[in-house]
Amino acid sequence: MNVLFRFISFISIFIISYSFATPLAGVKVVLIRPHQADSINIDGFKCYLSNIVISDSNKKKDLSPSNYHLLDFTSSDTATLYLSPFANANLLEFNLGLDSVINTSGALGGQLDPSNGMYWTWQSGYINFKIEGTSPHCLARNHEFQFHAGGYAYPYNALNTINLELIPNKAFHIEIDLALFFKLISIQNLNHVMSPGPNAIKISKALASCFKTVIDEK
Amino acid sequence: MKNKILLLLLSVVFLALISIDKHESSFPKYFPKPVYQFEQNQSNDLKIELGRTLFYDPILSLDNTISCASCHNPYNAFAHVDHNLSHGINDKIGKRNAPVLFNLAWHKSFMWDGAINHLDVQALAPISHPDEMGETMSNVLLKLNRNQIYKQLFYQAYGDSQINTERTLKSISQFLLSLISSNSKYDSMLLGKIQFNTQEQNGYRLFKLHCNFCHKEPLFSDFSFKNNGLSLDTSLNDFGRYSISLLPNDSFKFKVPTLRNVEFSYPYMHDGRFKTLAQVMNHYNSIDLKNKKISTELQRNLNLSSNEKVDIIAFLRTLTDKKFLFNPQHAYPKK
Ligand code: HEC
Ligand code: HEC
Repeated sequence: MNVLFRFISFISIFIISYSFATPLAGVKVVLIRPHQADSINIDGFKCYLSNIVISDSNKKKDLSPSNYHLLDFTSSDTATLYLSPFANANLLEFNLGLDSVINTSGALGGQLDPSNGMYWTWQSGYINFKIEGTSPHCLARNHEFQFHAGGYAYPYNALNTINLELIPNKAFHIEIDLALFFKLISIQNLNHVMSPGPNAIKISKALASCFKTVIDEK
Repeated sequence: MKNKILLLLLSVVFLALISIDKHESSFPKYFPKPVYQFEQNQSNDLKIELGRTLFYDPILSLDNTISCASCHNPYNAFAHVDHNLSHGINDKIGKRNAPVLFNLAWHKSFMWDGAINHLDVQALAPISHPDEMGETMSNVLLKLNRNQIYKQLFYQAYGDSQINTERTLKSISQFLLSLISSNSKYDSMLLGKIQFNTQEQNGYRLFKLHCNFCHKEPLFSDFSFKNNGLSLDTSLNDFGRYSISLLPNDSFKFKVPTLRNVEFSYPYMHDGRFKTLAQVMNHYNSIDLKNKKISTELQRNLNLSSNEKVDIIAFLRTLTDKKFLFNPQHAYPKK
C-alpha cells in the first residue's frame, strides 16, 4: 500500500515539475479607477478569474496551468495573471467567477480557501468578486457601497464568460474599467448586493463587460 | 519463488485498490448509496478523533465558551434539547432548532433550508455566525496553530503539523461521518432478528400509508424540501427553502428531517414548536386543507383515530438506537 502510494506520488511530482518547467507568461491586469469627477472612491476590489483558455485561429487550445486566480487589488492597482505562453494566440477566454463544480466541492485549499474572505459561510458558495468603497452619491449608511456577487445555482448563476481578442504574438495587458462599471449600475439606486439573486446577476454582467485587452506599445 | 513474490505483490496492489473507506463499511447493506464522496476525504481513526476533539472544543468560538456540542448534545442524537431555538455566544438566540446529527453522508444539503451544499463547509456556518460562535476561520486557525495539543493531533492525523482550513473542516466531517445510527429495533426487525408487536406492526403499516412519502425508509427522509402544513410563526417569518432558492414555489418548504431517534430529538420542527410526538400527530391529523401550498402528499384528511396515533408513535419509538445514543466513542473525549 505504502509502496504503491510512494510510487504514485513520485510520478505525480514528476508530472507536476515537468509542466511547471515551461515558463509562464505574466500578463499584467490593471484596474482603471472611476474618474475623479464621478467621486467614487474604491477601497477594495477582488475577483476570481477561472477556466482560462487561450486559442489560435485553428482553434488549437491551451489551458492555463493553474486555472483559478484570485486577483486582489486592495493594495495595488495591478495584479499579474500567469498564463502558459502560446504562439499565435488570438483569443483569450475565461470566466469571471467560479463554476458550479468548484462551488459544490466542499473545503478546498490555496486560492480557493474559504478563509480568503471570498466565501459565503451562511449559504455555501464563493463570492466571484467584491467591490467596496464610498461615494457621496450613495444613500446608504456612511455613503458606503458593497457589492459582493456570486451564486452558481439556476436561475441565479452569476458566472460570466469573457472573450478577449488578441493580436497574435503582440504583448498585451488586461484592463478592468471600473469607471464603466459605475456607469452601467447607478449607485443612487443600488448600493448593496450581498447574496445570490437578480442583482448579483446584474452587477456580474456589468463587470464582465468592463474587461478589455490593450496592446503594449513598445 | 519469484512467481510467488509477484503474486503476493499483485494481491497487495489489488487489496489496496478494493479497500473501501472505514465509514463506508460501517452501515448496513439496505442503506442506499451515500452522497458524500469518501475518496475526497479519506478516513483514519486519528482524523476522526481530531474531529471529535474539535467538535467538543469551545476554541472554535470567539470567547471560547461555545462548542458544537453546546447545541448538539450527544445524548439527544446531537439535537438541542431544552431549547426550541438554539443558543449561541452571549446567550444570543438563533432563529432555528438544532437538528440531530447522524447518517449525514446521505444528505444532499444541510440546514433546514439546504443553505449548505457540502458537509465539509457546514462548520463554517456556525463558526462565523454572529449569534452562534461569532468567530472567523482565520482566527480559529491562529488559535489552533498556537496550541501544542492540536499541533500534535494534526501531525498524527496528517503526517505533518500543518493546520489549515481544509484539514480542520475535513476533520470535523470525519467525526460527523462516524456518527451512524443503524441499530434500532426497526433495524433488527428488517434483519429478521426480532418481530414487532401488534401495536408497532400497525403503526408501521399506517406509517407506510401516510408518512413514508417524505420520511422515506430506511433513512426516514428523502432529504427533499416539503411544506408539511405548519402555520407561519410571524415572530420569526421563516420562509425556509425560499430564502435560498428565491423560487416562489419553495416558500415554507423545509428539509424533511429523519425520524430515527425521534423519541429523543424533541422539541420538534424547524422552530421547535412541538414538545411531544402526540402534538406532532395531532398536527398531521388536522391539516388545513384550504392551504394549497401544503405538499400534495398531505392534501388529505388522515382521519387517524386516537389508537392509530398511539400506534404510529409506538412505531416511531422503534427507531430509537440506544447503542448510538450512548456510544462512548461519540461522547466528550476523555483527556
Ligand atoms: C448556537 C448553536 C449551534 C452551534 C454552536 C452549532 N450548531 Fe450546528 N446547527 C444549529 C442549528 C440551529 C442548525 C440548523 C440551522 C438552520 O437550519 O438554519 C444546525 C445545523 C447543523 C448541521 C446540519 C444538519 C442537517 O440535518 O442539515 C450540522 C451538520 C451541524 N449543525 C454541525 C455543527 C458543527 C460541526 C458545529 C461546530 C462547528 C455546530 N453545528 C455548531 C445550531 C448550532
Ligand atoms: C409532505 C411530506 C411529509 C409527510 C407526508 C410527512 N411529513 Fe413529517 N415532516 C415533513 C417536513 C418537511 C418536516 C419538517 C417541517 C418543519 O420543521 O418545518 C417534518 C417534520 C416531522 C417531525 C419532526 C421531526 C423533528 O426532528 O423535528 C415528525 C416527528 C414528523 N414529521 C412525523 C411525521 C409523521 C408521523 C408523518 C405521517 C403521519 C409525517 N411526518 C408525514 C414532511 C412530511
